[in-house]
Parts: sequence; structure tokens; C-alpha cells
Amino acid sequence: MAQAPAQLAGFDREAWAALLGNASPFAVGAGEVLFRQGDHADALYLVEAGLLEIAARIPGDDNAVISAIRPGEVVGEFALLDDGPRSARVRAVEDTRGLVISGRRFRALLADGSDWAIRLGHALRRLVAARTRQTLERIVAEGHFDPHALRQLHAGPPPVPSRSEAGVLARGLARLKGIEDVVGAGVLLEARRGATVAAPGDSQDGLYLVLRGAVRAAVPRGAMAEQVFVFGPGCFVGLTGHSDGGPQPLLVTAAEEARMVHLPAGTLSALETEAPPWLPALHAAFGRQLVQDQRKANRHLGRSLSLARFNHAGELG
Amino acid sequence: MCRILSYLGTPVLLDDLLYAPDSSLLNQTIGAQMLQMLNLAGFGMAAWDEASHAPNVPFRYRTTQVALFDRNLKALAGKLRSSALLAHIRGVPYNSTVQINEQNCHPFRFDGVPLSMAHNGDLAGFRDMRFDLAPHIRPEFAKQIQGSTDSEWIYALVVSALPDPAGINEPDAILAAIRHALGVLREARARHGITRSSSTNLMFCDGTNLAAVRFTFDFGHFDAGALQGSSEYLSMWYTCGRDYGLHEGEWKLTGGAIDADSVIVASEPLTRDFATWIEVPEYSALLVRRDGDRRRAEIHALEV
Repeated sequence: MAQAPAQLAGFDREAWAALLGNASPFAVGAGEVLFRQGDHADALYLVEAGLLEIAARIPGDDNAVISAIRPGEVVGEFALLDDGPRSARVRAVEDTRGLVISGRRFRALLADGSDWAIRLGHALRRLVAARTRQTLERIVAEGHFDPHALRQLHAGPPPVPSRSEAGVLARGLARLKGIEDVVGAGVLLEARRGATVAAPGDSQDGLYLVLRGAVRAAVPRGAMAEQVFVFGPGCFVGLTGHSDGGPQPLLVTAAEEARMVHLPAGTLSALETEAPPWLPALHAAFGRQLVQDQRKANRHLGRSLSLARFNHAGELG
Repeated sequence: MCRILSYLGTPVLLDDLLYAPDSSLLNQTIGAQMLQMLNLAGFGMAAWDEASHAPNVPFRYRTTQVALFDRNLKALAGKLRSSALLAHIRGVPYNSTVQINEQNCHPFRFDGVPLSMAHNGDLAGFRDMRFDLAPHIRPEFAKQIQGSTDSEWIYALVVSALPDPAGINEPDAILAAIRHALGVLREARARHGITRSSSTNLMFCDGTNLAAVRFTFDFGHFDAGALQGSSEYLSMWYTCGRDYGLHEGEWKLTGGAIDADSVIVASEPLTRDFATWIEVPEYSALLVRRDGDRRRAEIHALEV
């Protein structure tokens, strides 16, 4: 693997060589399992040859195939961003080999400010965001929703500037520990219940950080909405689009009266240059939430698939 | 802050739900996965056994003991096989203002009412608003309120709104009563200016039907600089399938959603590996409905 695969764009030759210096080879035979759902996760795999299949278990101990991993693609990226267990089973369909990067080594070198580790962090966040976008597109396209689970679509006026003190609101929020300073870089807004924060297809200007209340991200279904995420205090809104550069994938409205900080794209890119001491903590918080969002989107898809199987049971005999 | 478990399906040994899995309800007394709190303030259950005398009436057990140490419960759980269960461990703030007594142990069930209820959460400002709730509670139920919890009043509101509190109500009727009760609470909060985040995760079971609610009033609202309770939405998970038991070294339901005849819903999964569990969405209710030999789990949006 002389150069970085497309999924890990953003490496120059030197940084990629440094990454390879920290990787080891792996091989798995056809039919063998690389890792199981629920396993302790501590490595990222880069596939050079072969074919892997990702499958997740759903209620009733069924399996749902999520996707295939081909040469030049990576799998297991959650392990480097979050400390949760493996979210799916990965099995080799063909003999497969490639390189493996240990999460422990990645984190140690990231803490030391190693250039390749920082680039890998960026690339993985972009990759997880792209996977979430794919999952959301599948949820939108397949439409296996429970009709009772839809709720009235609200699309009220957008948030307006707030006079509250963002710093006071940020204090004590466990999810923001170490990055409370981030709120000073943005503009505090308040949204009434039902206010539209972003619509599907909108180009995105940075992120929102919820300090009070809650925001809902949903798939519009005619006059109704299929809720996928609820973001409460300490959660970022718009991470998928911010991380992969794509448009807003869902309709985002205030589920409760909410106060949130808007961090425009210009402010966020200036932070990357200024590199305040809390920037690594902010990146880590982005990584953790991106993984949580991807897990949640997959669970949503799993629930829909299990419902679809139940509803079609009669047809299958 | 409490943990709840409910089961509906083919009969299973209570020990297999309450004790055996690695994150069983009783193990959550001191080691919950999704709650940073101990649940030491009591245990209660209602368990239905079709082979027992008066099968529509559940076997009930409530104790203020830490149930992990309760040998009587352990012995009973090793004998009873139930087709429906509603069980609860109570977690409260660590101070002496809380009343620990049997009347405050969940699940609640009034005389002559088949529906039982357990609650995970708390209503901010309950002392201020509770008398506003009284007009919405039928007199025959108001006089049966024995404890001091917000939960028992929520139960009284819901059963008062049932079309036939003394009968087995359809899942849709139970859900309509829940919506009505949450609406009454929303209005009472507004009258008293209560805006603090208040979790109302509820589970109802009458031995035939199961309804579970994952709901929080004004989620994410806390006083500035003084964060009370959790800033997370309280969790609720479910799983469905057949033949609950130890399969391939794992406590789970098998057979896929297609043939599901059993459903477990709980504040959190009963196993550390929750691959076969699915989250009940926020602001939603889960209804378990009979469909011939099968049971189906439906998600309903809750907007109050």
C-alpha cells in the first residue's frame, strides 16, 4: 500500500510512510471472523486484498448484512475514536490480507502530536461521517418505518440570537469536559420548540453545540417526520456534514425550547490553524459523537429491518 | 434513579430474567451499565403464571430490602415460571429526605385493576403540582394512593383515563390513557412554571399487554450552573424473538423477528453484549400486540 487509499485522503507521502511504519500485517481466511459484535475493539484494519462482509445482529438474533469491504478500504475505525465494543461482525468472504493499526499506539502518538496520527484522526472522522450518511441514505430510500412512529413535521422560524451567557450554560456539562472554552468561539442562539435549524440538502455553515433543551434530526415523510437522532445538552448538531463536507442529510428542528452555540465554518477552520490547547479534546469529542451517531443510525436501520421482516413474515410463508 | 424490566411471551423461569444474565435486573442494583447510580431503595415485581390459581391476578412481591441479599426472592425466582413480568429496583437520591417503605416500591397496582406500572425517573416540582392532578383521578383510585411517590400519582392518572380500568384494555386504549395522563402533567407543569427536565420512563403490564414509554418533559433544561440529575435521556431497550434462554453461551431470544412470540423491554439490556437489543426511541412508546401466535412490537411517537 504505497499511498493512502481514497477513504483516508489527506496524507502526503511522508505522513503515509510514517503510518505504515506503525502498522503490522494481518491475514484472515475465507469464512473466518475478523471480529465479532460486542468484542473489545482496539484496532483499525486496512484491506489490501480479498473481501470482507460487515453484518450486525438485530432483535431475535437475526443478522443484517450492512456492507462489504474491498481492497483499498478500511474497517474497524470506531476503535480509534471511541472506547465502545465492536458494533458489528466482520467476516472474510474471500481470503483477505492487509495492515492493522493498534488503537493504543494511535492514541499514544496522537497525544504526542504526531503528524500522521492527527491526519489519521481527521480521515477517520470523515470516513465515519460518510458511513453515517450512507446509513441515513439507506433509511431514507428503504422506508421501512413504522407508520405509528412518525410524528407531525414542525418547521417553525429559525433560531434567533440569545442574550444568555453561553459560558454559564456550558459549565458542568459532562460531555463538554475540557472543551468549555469552545462556546466562547461561537454565537449563542435560542430556538423555540419546532424551530427549523437546518433542512435536508442545505449547505452547512459549521456546527451547533446544544447547551440547553434538545434538537431532533429526522427524515421528512410527507407531512410527517421519522425521528433518527435527539441531541441534548453537550451534543453537536451537524457533525456529519461538517466532517464529510456534504450537505445536511436530515431535517433538524428544536424538539424542546433550545439554546445552542453556532460555530461557523470559518471559526472552526481558524481554530485548526490557531490550535488552542483544547483543540485535541474537541477533536476527540467530535470522534466520540460521530461514532455514537453512526451506532445510533445503524440501530435505527436494524429496528426498521426487524420490523420489515416481521411485517413480511406472512408473505414469506 | 431506578431500573425496570418487563417480559411478555412464553413462560420463562424468573431466575433467568432476574438473576442469570451478566447484567440482569438484580445485578443492576450495584452495577447498571447505563446509569451512574446505585439502586438500593427496594424491589418489586408483578408476575403472571397461567398455571396458577386466578391466572389473571399476578403474583406480587415488594420489599425495601436490597433484593440482591433477599434469599426468599432468590428461592421464589428459582420456582416460578411466568408468561408476563413487570419488575423494578428503586434508586433514589442518597439522603435522608427520601421515604423508603413498601408503599413506595413499584410496581403499583390498585385493587381490581389488572394493569400494573413501574416508573424510572422523577417529576420536578411534584410536591407543588400534585394537588392539581387530583381532579383527574377517579375517587376510587385517589383513596388507594398509599405512598409518597410521584410514580403512584402517574399510575393513578393513567388508570383513571382507561375506558375500563377493571378490564383488560387493548394496547391502543392503554396508550391513549398514557397520552392523556402526560397531557395533564404537561398542563400542571405549565401552571406552576416547572421547566426542569423530568424523566417519565414508564412500563405497564396486565399479563396480556405490555406498553413502555420513553419520555422526558423539557428534556435538557436545567438551572444554569447547577446541573441536577442526568443530562442524558434515560435509556430504554427491547428485544424480541422466541425461546428466551441460554443459547451458545449467551442469554437471548432466538428465531428472528419473523416468528417472535416474546418480547423483553428493560431500562437497559440484560447482557453486556447488547447486539440483539434495540433502543426504544426518545419521545416514543413501545406497544406489544398479539398477532395470531406471534407478538409484534410497535413504536409509537409521543408528542405531548
